[in-house]
Amino acid sequence: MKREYRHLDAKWVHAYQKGDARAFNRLYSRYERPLFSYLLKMLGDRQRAEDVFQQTWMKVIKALPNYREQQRFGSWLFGIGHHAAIDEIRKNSKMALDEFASEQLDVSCVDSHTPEAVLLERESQEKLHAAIARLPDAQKSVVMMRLKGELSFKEIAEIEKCSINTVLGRMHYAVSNLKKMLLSQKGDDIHVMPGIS
Amino acid sequence: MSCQEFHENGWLFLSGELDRQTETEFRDHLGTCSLCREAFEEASSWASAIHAVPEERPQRATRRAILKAARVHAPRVSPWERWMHAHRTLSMGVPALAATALVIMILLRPWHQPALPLDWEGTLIDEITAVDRALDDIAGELDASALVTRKALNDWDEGGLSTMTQDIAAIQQDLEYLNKTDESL
Repeated sequence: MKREYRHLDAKWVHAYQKGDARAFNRLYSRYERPLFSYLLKMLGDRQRAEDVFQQTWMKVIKALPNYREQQRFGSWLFGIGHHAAIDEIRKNSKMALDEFASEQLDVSCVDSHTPEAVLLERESQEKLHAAIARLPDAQKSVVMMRLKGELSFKEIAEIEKCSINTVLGRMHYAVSNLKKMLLSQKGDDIHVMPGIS
Repeated sequence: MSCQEFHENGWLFLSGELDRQTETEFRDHLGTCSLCREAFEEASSWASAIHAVPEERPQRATRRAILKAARVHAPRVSPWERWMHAHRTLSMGVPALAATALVIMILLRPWHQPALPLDWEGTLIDEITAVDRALDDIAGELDASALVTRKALNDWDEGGLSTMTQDIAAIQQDLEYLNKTDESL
């Protein structure tokens, strides 16, 4: 996370606390896409993602007047969104929650192809998009919070209430699995590797 | 840094979370180990590729509902507070300006009239004058002592030299007498 954004976040939060509603629009605009993309990937369903997205911001709006910057705003926001998504998953599917806890994946047979070579193919971004959606939730969560939400691994570890090594392990497995998925479905429809649902 | 440590720290390096020392060691290893460099470049490419995946937006209705709720629930503050926050540079500047003006006024004391010498000032001046006089007296005494000393030295020089000259002349006469006696013998 760039330092100037953190400074701007704090400035806008303070302005909103002083009654400047326009400052909230700026905060919202900045985090709208990363947070929604994160929730959409986590929940896999647009309508559920919309609901959780709205719930998350409503919680933020209620809590903002008393918010003190003990943690960065983005980290705080993603923390609320993450827990709302977990609640939603828990509500709808016990199986999905079990999947979230799963980290034991087959990471053998790593091909030496570079991601650039794969991504240069037609519709490669869409394939990657779909592949991320097929990652186990624990890995998907780390990938999206780090690379879309621009949260640090330390912040992710705090949100997920686990060690930073666990988060780094999930990131490592996520990239290995993405690579396998993309390489296995070259020229075909996406094929999910055994052990990855 | 070993290859194992390099791999453990790769993602932390990309997210800028390594401390300076570890980052330096990481860069050193990156510059020397081609296998690790290849693995790092691959991880870095994946990060860029995932980052580049287009993001999704919620529906407009969702956005409108959230922004409306934010307006409705925005903390209520008085117009004066809001103005002060919006113009906080000015609101911080006014007290600073007032404090500066106060300091200048205290230093210059424009209300201060030239005062008559206070009692302690007169006493101090008297004491300084007395000390000056005493110093003058001491200097005079020193001068007088120096004159006396110089005269005594001169007197000693004159008397002492004549006595010594006379003694030497007497010794010479004694020597001449002895020489003559020796010759006659």
